[in-house]
Amino acid sequence: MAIVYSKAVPLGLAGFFALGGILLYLGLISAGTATYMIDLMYYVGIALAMAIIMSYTGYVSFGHTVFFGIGAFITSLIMGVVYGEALKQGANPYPYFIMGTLLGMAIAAGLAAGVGLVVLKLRGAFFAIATIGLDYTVLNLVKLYEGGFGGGEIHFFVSQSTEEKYVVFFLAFLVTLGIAYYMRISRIGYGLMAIREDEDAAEAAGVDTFRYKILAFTVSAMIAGLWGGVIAWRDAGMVAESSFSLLNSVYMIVMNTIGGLGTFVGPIIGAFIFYPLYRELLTSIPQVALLPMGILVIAIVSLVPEGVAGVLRRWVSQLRRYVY
Amino acid sequence: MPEASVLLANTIYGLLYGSILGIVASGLSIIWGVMKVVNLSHGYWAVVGAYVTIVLYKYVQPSIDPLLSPYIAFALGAILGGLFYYAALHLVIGKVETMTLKAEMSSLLSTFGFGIAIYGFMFFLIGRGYVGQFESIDWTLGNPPSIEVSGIAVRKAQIAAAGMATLIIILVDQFLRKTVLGMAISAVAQDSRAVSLVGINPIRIKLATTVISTGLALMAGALFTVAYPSGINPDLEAKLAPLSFVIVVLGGLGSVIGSYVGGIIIGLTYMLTLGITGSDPIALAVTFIMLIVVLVVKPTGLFGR
Repeated sequence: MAIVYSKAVPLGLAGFFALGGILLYLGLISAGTATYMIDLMYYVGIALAMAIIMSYTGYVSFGHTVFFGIGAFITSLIMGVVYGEALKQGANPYPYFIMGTLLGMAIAAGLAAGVGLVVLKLRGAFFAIATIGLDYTVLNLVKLYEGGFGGGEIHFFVSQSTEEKYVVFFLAFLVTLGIAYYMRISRIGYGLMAIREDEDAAEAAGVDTFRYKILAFTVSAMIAGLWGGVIAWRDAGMVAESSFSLLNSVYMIVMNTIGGLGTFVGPIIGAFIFYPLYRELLTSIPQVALLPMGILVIAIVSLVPEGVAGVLRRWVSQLRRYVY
Repeated sequence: MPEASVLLANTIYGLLYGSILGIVASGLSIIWGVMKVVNLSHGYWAVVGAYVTIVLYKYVQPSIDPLLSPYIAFALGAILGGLFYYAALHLVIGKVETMTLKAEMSSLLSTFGFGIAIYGFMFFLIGRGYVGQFESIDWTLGNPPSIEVSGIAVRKAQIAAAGMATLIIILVDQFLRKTVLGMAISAVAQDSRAVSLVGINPIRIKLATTVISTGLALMAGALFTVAYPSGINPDLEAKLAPLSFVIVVLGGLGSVIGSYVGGIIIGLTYMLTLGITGSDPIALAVTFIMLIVVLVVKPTGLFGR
């Protein structure tokens, strides 16, 4: 293999956030800064979740938030309904959190695999629309759940220190980074990229495209579910309209598009561009930020379709070892 | 099982609602069928049209009758459609002869970007106080505003809107079939390279298609407000757009008659399921399951090519 893929980016990224954790533990950074980094880990995390199906495989899962929502819902059910009393009495929340999140990830993955058998037979835009349909279907089914807070809403008792949040988010981040990295550099990654480039040619060349697509969709859903569980834990509950909101998918897609499709590093760059910009544009009305975001997406797709990562690769060939 | 009067009521409401949904979907059907562009901004344009009726009645002096608003909305939509074509579509698919997967995904993303930009802009205006987040008008049609059909009260405004929607659908269908521009548009849907060989500029056609589609979208939104003049808000897109996709797929890409029929089917399905189960989430879930089923079983729809 002529190109050596440097591990600099994933290791550097992990190191960066690890450093943040250490500084937090030593009291050298404020809770505000730590929270900023926690949020950043979340956005990079969901960008990478989407990347597996969108950036690597080329299938834009517009309804991907459905898997995030499932993770949030299942975790909230476990922590709020099944073991809600125990938590109110001061039990250790972590076993239930882990249980809920793992179960949520499994169900999200199962749904993806099941529905994927059907919708991954659809091309491009039809696949995108089918996933939107899936999201709305599950959203409305979840809203049927009456937990005493209104349809599809669960709240439970848990509280965490900033340090605890940092550790949990960092662990979830490491898992996400590791899985996404592995998917990219392994043989699976080659297969997915081939599907993205030209699915028929890949099939003709012997790539089992259907199996690879199912795998990518399932793994991608599982990670989205992981973050759903983490966020439900942090927010001590979930609201269906928010957890299943297509806005979550919007962010995932925007980050992937800006950063550059077809790469591992692209979505990460996209998240690092998106999140600070999003925070800057955030006023009392968060939706207003979508106006410049939307314009940015149009500009990227029309003028620089390969995204920031693609531009870096094209102009600075020495960066190809790092930007892949 | 609810009693007959409830079923009758929901059937009537379903037909009325369905015709509005049908015209909302028609614009999407045209742009999708002709240009193979899955216009993810379509729902947002419809909401813009809905606000047009509100603004023209409430904030403009002299107040403009909502029954006129759909036509003003169409004109406005046509102009905005031209802008939309050059901003989001021309660079991406203007010169493309046959839609490749890449072009399709690019146009999906660029229309998506435009859509969320419209959404953000609406909230920008709301933040500045130009419009409210939830707008309603206290306008009614006729005195008394409702008529009785077998004991069911039906608002005249809804009937008027549904009637206008039906007429407009027929007009647009005739336009596409009988006029020169309309036939050229239909031709591009079939083979855009052949169209340029006979001397028609495909870019002009794409522009015209976008103009008509956007005009229809705003007009349909305005009609929606005529029928349902309360609770107009930006998130209405979430109600209209997904259903529009279901309807276009069900009715067949490129067919406005198909959109109308599809709209009626979906309207009836939604209202009757709502009437039988009493649950809005279940009614919506059923319609979205229909989307997935149609996509897998017969993606060309009822009237599709």
